[in-house]
Amino acid sequence: MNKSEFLAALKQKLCGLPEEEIESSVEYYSEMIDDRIGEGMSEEEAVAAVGSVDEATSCILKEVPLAKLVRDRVMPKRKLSGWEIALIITGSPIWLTLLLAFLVVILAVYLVLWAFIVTMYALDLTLGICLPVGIMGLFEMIGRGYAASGMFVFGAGLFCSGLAILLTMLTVKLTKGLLLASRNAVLQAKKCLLGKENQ
Amino acid sequence: MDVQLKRGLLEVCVLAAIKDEDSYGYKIIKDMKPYVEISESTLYPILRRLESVGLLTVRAEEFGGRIRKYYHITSEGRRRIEAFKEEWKDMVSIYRFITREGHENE
Repeated sequence: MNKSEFLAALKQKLCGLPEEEIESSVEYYSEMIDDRIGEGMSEEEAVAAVGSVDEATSCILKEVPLAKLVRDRVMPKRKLSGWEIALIITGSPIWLTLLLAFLVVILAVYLVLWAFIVTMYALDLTLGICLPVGIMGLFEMIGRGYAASGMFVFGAGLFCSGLAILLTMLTVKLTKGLLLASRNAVLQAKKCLLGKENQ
Repeated sequence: MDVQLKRGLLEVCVLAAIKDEDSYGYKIIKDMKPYVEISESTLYPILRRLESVGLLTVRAEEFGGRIRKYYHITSEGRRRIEAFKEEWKDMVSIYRFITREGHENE
């Protein structure tokens, strides 16, 4: 990939951001490539050294707040004409409810995911408590003369607490995964907003 | 390393890279390289942020028939470096606590 291809691809990916934002990014990467060429690298090498267009785009997008993107991208830049406003208002019983339903569904799915994780933690805790309860059960049963039952209760307690350790490890992994996924979803949403004109 | 922590550290690194003389993007990366690797894509948003909060200023200068941007540290930026050094003393003492040899068992 040569310099102008790289810069053109970058411009394309950022399309939708404010003009001066795109201009500044392109100038920055152009300067970076030129400085490497000035040091004796070939153009292709210099472009390869500054990394991929995707990486550049992601780093720039992470800095732009989602709210600003929505404002710039979703809100129309020109003044709406009278009949457009009338259409939006008369249509609002339909599109407003649809939009709300859509957002609520997304929110609900997200909440369910977190509820699942909370449930997992509750389960971990419950299983963990089985060990002290098992020990108490052991003494209680021995005291009443049922040594075999006591051993059974104790063994069950041990088994459950072992399960608790394994499940907790899994739960922590899931929590981290969900956090990471949430962060990626925001980045993807940003890319989606920008992507409208790229396709 | 934690992303937020690393980012905060890199911001101070970039300020330190321009504290003695004004510098440009590629030179900042080269100067930092022996100590910490930073990619072009990581540096760019950091420079933008430091500029927007007034810790550095940017001027464009002609160099070899093209424009190159030079970054200049502000007095606010210098204060940020000094504040970092102070904060770091706390960090060092926390590190000492975390890595101390256990006396209580002896």
